[in-house]
Order: sequence, then structure tokens, then C-alpha cells
Amino acid sequence: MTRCDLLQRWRRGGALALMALLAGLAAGCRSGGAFTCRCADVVALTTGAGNDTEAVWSPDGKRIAFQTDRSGDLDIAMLEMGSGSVSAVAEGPGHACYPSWTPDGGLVYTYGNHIGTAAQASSAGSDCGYGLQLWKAGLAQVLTQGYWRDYTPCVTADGSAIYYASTQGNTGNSASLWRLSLAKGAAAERVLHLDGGTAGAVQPSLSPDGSRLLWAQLDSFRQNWRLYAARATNLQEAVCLTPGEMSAYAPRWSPDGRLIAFTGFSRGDPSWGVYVMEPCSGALCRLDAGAGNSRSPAWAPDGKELVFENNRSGFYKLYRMRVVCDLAPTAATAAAPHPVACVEARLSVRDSDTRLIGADGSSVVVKRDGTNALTFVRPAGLDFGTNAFYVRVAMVVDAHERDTRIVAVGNYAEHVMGWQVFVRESGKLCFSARDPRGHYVGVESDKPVEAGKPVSVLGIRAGDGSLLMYVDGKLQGGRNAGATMSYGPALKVCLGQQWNGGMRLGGRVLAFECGRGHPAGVPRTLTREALFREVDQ
Amino acid sequence: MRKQRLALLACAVGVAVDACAAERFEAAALVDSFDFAHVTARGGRLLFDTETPQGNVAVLDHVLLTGANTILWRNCGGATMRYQSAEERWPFVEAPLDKRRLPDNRPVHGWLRYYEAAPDILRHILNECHERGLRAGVHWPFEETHWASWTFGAWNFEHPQYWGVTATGQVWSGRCSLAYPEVVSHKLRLADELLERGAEHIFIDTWRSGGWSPEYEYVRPELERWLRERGAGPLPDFRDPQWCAFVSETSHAFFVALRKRVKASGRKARLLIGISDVDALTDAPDATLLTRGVDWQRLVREEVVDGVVVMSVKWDKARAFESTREIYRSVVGACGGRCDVLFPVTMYDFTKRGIPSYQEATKQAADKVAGELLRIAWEEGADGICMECVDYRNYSEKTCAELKSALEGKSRFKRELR
Repeated sequence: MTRCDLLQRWRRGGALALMALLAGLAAGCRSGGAFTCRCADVVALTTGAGNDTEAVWSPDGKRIAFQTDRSGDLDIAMLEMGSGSVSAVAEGPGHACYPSWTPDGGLVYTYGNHIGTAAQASSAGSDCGYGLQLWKAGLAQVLTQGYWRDYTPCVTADGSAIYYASTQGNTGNSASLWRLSLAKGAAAERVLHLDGGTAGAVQPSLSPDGSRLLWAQLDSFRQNWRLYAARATNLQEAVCLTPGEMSAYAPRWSPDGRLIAFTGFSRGDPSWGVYVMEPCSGALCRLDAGAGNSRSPAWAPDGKELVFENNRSGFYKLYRMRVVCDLAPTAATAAAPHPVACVEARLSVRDSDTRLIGADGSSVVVKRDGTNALTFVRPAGLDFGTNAFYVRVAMVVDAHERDTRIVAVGNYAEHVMGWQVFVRESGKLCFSARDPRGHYVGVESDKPVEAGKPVSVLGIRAGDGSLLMYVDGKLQGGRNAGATMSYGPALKVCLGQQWNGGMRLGGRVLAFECGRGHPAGVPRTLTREALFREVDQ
Repeated sequence: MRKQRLALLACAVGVAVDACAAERFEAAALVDSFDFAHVTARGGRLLFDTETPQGNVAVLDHVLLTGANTILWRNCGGATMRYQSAEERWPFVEAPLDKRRLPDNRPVHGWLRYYEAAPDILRHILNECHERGLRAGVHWPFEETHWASWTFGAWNFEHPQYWGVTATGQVWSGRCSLAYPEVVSHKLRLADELLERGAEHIFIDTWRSGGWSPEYEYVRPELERWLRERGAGPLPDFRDPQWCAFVSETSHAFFVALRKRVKASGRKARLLIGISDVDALTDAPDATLLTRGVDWQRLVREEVVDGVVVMSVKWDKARAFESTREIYRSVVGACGGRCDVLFPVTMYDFTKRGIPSYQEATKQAADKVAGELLRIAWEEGADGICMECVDYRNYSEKTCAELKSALEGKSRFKRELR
């Protein structure tokens, strides 16, 4: 990571601005590597009581829209850059937040107003969660509404559509990404489905050329928020842009599409800070905007300044600062070649002969104990290290049990339940692996498995430790990350029971294979280089 | 035995009725109103509107069917306070108003806003308990998140510089480290809020840690202290008893500070600590120390806490009640009368140590198991029992009747002071 420790200048008078700028740009920065950023001339834009946050610059650069809690709840306000005057856009009861400009000077924002208790709302069949509204020429128009939450909208550069986070149809602690075309009669569509225990995508940001979408994603309870990007036409194949060790959210593309500004925190930082990333190389730079938390950066239309919020005054107020980044030709992070997929163990059942066949043709004969369960001792080839691997099982559950039942488990010296496929008491299928400390990391299916009906499950532990699960060929909404345990040789593989013989499956395993890499027919994890180089070319 | 001697002395000097009445065998109920929020009658009507005073009174009435005489009301889910907390209210604790909180999408549950409900939920229910002659306090988990993104602390989100850090340098908002004085101050201000609302008991439940553990204590102050005290060298694994004991020094200091704060408040309030996975005590480090970095036996020895609430014990399936009795005896002995001791009579079974697991091991009905556990606790000299958590009808009518019968009969008073 390139870390820049940049000079910042707080100034009050205009005359000091240039001096501060020059000092900051000329001498106040230390650079590192091929990517350097310099910032200077930090100027307060709003003052007084109340928190002013989530600022966005208008396309013509003359105004900044933001949310403010000066009146108690959240309202949308607008700052005229020329006069410094602030006027209300959406105020009154309820929360109006997360403004996003349309190309013609309108604003899309989130609005919710909850009167009464949750029980009262439920009994009354309320459809008033948080929805999107469009403000234009002093009038507000409802775009979406339901008993869910639509938030953090981003209007496309041509104004034809809105990307946003939504909980519509979600069941867990989660949010997915949606797209609403503003063409008449168009319906909103979910473009990235994330659901489950804790998994969500928030604050999408479309690149200026419309080719790539960027967002913040939380993959599990124990993980940090991270930035992801993908081709706008296929969000299922995404690249994680920030390291799991840091927390990163609220990303915004620069107007030229070459940089990303976001809110971040890494070990040793004094507070939340504004970071800038060069996405192709992954180089990062933390802009030192002064004491306090600095968050939610948004670019000026000319790409030379950022507006952000900082709480050094005791309230979050808005500030602007000049930013110059030097983009020396970057040595793109060498993309690790995808490991070649290889079936390392496959179940073979011929009459009474049941074996696990290895990639080299060797086999391990089953150990039976008079039940449907199968145990294979020391199968070769399942020493995946930290590389990608997968487990594919076809199975039938005869009847659901009141507790967890094991479909397949890989027993390792590193952890007795190194990876597992199992059926929860809820009837949902799960795939799990481990983090380096041995913690469980798992994903579960969107729906319970149907009893008596064959089902195919595919669990993938990707090379970066993220987990994916397919059921009957369909990618499930659950996500998880951090499963980077290094696997040595397997001690045994058990099908239909736990490694110690317990938690027996009320059903049958029809087929099983386990291998390294991504299996054939499944999209590979996109690389940073593939995403950013190919689109640029 | 100081506590017992004082009580006996009090009886002897003529205030026998009051003092002995104070030695009622305690039946503490952990109450989580959140778990009542989605209880429906036939036809789908919601039975408890837990954002209203009436709804919480109905919850309390239901809980009291068990015979409980102490109420420990859950004050939070993670660090999202279930009352109008000034400390955890700002800037916004609601998803999606803070976009770092992924929303809870369950019906009703996902739309509760206890932090805004008026009148203040905690103040109201503690007052209601006092008016009914119940002992009342809060059940405060030792966590800043309760396994869901929307429960993460608002204060945590504002202060990443105090977050926990793993040995590999991963920061995590799930726990701010007690090694920072600012974090301790924050927690003491939260305690002030609870005391000011009338809590007579502050029960810190280390069983519920929300994922926190010594694993996240590789923070600057702890690393510097390690260097000072132990010198350079490789840092131990977070499971290493050395590291856990080291971290426990910081946790211990927090409890000492909390003790002082409670005392300084001038209010008569007990400080209780919840411990889990308790085994017959030996010289080996116990589970609470190794997984939570809290040395509860030292807290007892140094009289930092007024009570120990045992949340689960590692009884032997082959000798369910006998082994339970041995563990209870061991704990009572270790506490030596320095503090109150409460043992579990719990329908919660996620630890596989609760009443359902006893049923499986002993083939006895739930009411009989509950009665037997209460009897063992009483016979072994405990000060009471703890029911974790009393949810809607999870203690059956028969179990409630069995418990009430014992609590009004043979186990009405503590054994030593009958």
C-alpha cells in the first residue's frame, strides 16, 4: 500500500488559500511508489450546530446538496457555492437523506417517515419504509415505495437510471443492489443479490463511462466493509478492491474515472479518513484532512476538489479541499493466474464397490459402519493450501431433522471440520470453510432444500478466501469472506455424517467431487487487471 | 463468609424480620423484550407492542408467571441501546440512516426503534418493577455487537482508533478495546445512564460477548504493555493462557473502575457478572478467562463484584444431576460467601447445557428437571437461580408451577438463614 502523509492547511482568509495550496502542493507531501496524491486548502463550507453530511456536488459545480439534522431529523439542503447560502430542498417530518444529482439539476434521495410503533405499522399493513423520491423544480415525486429500505441512490451520468441499495425481498441482515430505469413504465430490477446472516452491498457508484459499477460490501459479521467493482453488465463477477484488514466504504469515482475516493480506516490511522485509490494497481493514499473523522468524499465536476464531512468542530460539517494525484504509469498488480481446475476426489459407486477416485487414478475404498454414511481415510490431493477449492455434492434429504445434519465433511489436522456441506435445522443448505484461526466461515442457501427431491450443491472457497454457493446451478445470495485457512493433507472425508460419526444425514449422497480451482462451468473470480485493463483498451 | 455473618448479626440484633426477608432465595429472570416483539396470537395479531409501556408491562406479567423476584431487563442489543441513550444515540443508530449498518429485514423486529420510544423504556420498566416490590436491574451483555451489523455500536463507528485489532493487523468495529481510557470512560457513562434510570443491579453477562475475545486485543496500549512487562519476542496466540491472563488485567481494571463508579453514584446497586461453561474448579484457567479474558475468580476474591451468575455448567451426561451438584458446590466454595451466587435453571439450550439437554440425559420432564436444578442450587447454598431468558411460554405452565411452588415453599429463603 502506498501511504501518503499529506500536508493540510486550514485557512480562514482567502489570501492564505493560495499560499496554503502552494505550500501543500509543492512541499508538504511525501509520496510513495508510482501513485502520489497531494491535498491542500481545506475550507469549511458549513458552520453552526447540527450535522451536515453526505454531500454531493452538482454537475455544473455551482451547488452542493447534502443532508442535515439541524432540525432534529434528516433533511436535504443545498449550498450555493457562489453565495454560501443554504436552502432547504426536502424538510419537514421524516428523514430525507442520501442525495444524488440528476444531470438536469434534480435530486434523487431516500425518504422515510415512521409514525407509531413497529407493531402498529405491521398491524396497519404499512408500506412506508424508506423509498426513493425525485426532487425537481421544487416538486417531489415518489419513485419507489414499500415496506423495505431503498437507499444510497446513484443516478447514471445520462440520467436514464438509478442504482441503489435495497432490502426489498431480503430476509437477513442484508441489502442488495437494484437498478431503476427512469423510462416510463419500467420496473426496478435487482442486479446483485446478497442476503443471509450479514451480507450486503451499499452505495453503488457508476463509472462516468457507465462501464463499471463500484460499491461497498460487507461479507460477514466479522469482516470489514470493503470496496468491490464489476462490469455494470454483470455484477455477479466482482473484484474486491480493498484489503480485508481495513474498513472501506462510501466510494465515488472521480469524474475522469481514473480514481476512487472513499472513507477508510486502517490500523494506526488516527480516525476515519478520506482515501484515494488508483483502482488498476490498487495503490492507496490517505489524505490528511486534519483532526477528527473525515468521511464521505465526493468529487467536484472538474475532478480537482473533494467535498467531505469532518467532525472536528463537534458536529459533522462540510469541507472542501484541493486534491492532485499523480498517475505515473502503473505497474498493474500482476494478476495471479487462475489455478487450473482439477477434480481431486470423485465418488464412484459400482454395485457394492464404493471408492473415492483421485486425480491420478488412485482410489480409497470406503469404510462403512452399516449405515448410509461413507468414510474415506486419507484421500490424496485435498491439500489445497490457501488456494481455491470446491466441493460439489448431489443429494437427497428424505426428511428434515430438528438439528444440523452433515452431507460432507473434510477432516484435517488444521481443523476437524475443515470444510463442510450440511443441512441446517431450518432446512437450508450450508457450505463452510475456516479462517486461519479456525473460525467457522459459511454461506447458506436462499431457501430450504425440498425433502425427497434431488438437489445439487456446489461450494467454492475462492483464492481470496471468499465463499460462494450454487444450488442447482443458481448462485445463492449468501456471501462470506476470510476463509483463508491453509489446508494440508486431508485425514478423511465423510459423506452423510460428521467426522466423528455424529449428525447423520437423513438422506443419501448421490454424487460427490472435490477439487482445486474453480470447477468447469462456473464463472471465475474476476481479476483487477481484467476488469480495469480490458475496459480501458 | 463475611456476608453471612453480617446477615446473621442483623437478625440477632432485632431487625430479624427485615434482614431475613432480604435473604429471600433469589429467582432472577433475564428478560429480552425484543424476543416478545413478534409473538402472535392465532390470526396473526401481535401480542406485545414492546415499544409501549403497556406492551412491556404485559411482558413483565408473563415473566412473573415463573415466580421470578428479580428482573434483569436487557438494556441493549449489541451496543444499540433499548432506551433513549445519549451515549449511543448519536449521530444515528438506525439502519439505513447510518449506511454501515445493514438492516434487519425481519418483519416487526427490523423496524423496532427502542432508542426513540417514549416514555423511556428502561426507566419505565425499572420503575414498574420497583412499584411491584421486585428487585430490578439490567442484563448488559459484554458486547458491542450481537452478531448482526445493525447492532454495532454507534460510538464504535465514531471511534475507529479504539477498535480491536487481531494479531495479523485486521481492525474490527465489533469491539473497542478496554485498554484505551476513552473506551472505559464511555462504558462508565453508559453505566451512569443505567443507574440514573434506577437499576439496582448491573449484570455484565460475559457469556454474550458478540464475538469479542482476547483475539482482538493486539492493540497499541496492550502491545506496549506487553513489551514493557514481558520484553521483546513473539506475541502469543490469542488462545494462549498467557495472553488471556495478560488481557484479563485490562478487563479486571474495567470492572474495578465500574465498581468504583457504582459506589460513587451513591445508589444501592449490585454489580453482577455472568460466567459460562463452568466446570468443577481446578488450578487450570477456566473458560471465561480463556474465551473472554475475564478472571471472574479474581473479581470475587478481590470483592469487586457482588454476585456471580453462572450461565451454564459443564455437567456430565452420564451423571447429570450429580455432576451438576459437584460443580455448584465447587463454585459456592470458591466464592466463599464473598458474593452472591446464582445458578442456571434455563430453558435456553444453545449451549447444550440447558433444561432440554438435562431432559435428554435424564429422561425427565422439563418441570421435574427445573425443580431438581432449583433444589440442588438451594441445597448447595446458592443465593438463587437465574432463568435465561424468559421468553414467551418457553417455561411451560407446569415448569412455572413447579418453580413457583418451590420458591414459595421450601426454597423461599436461602438455606443457611432459614
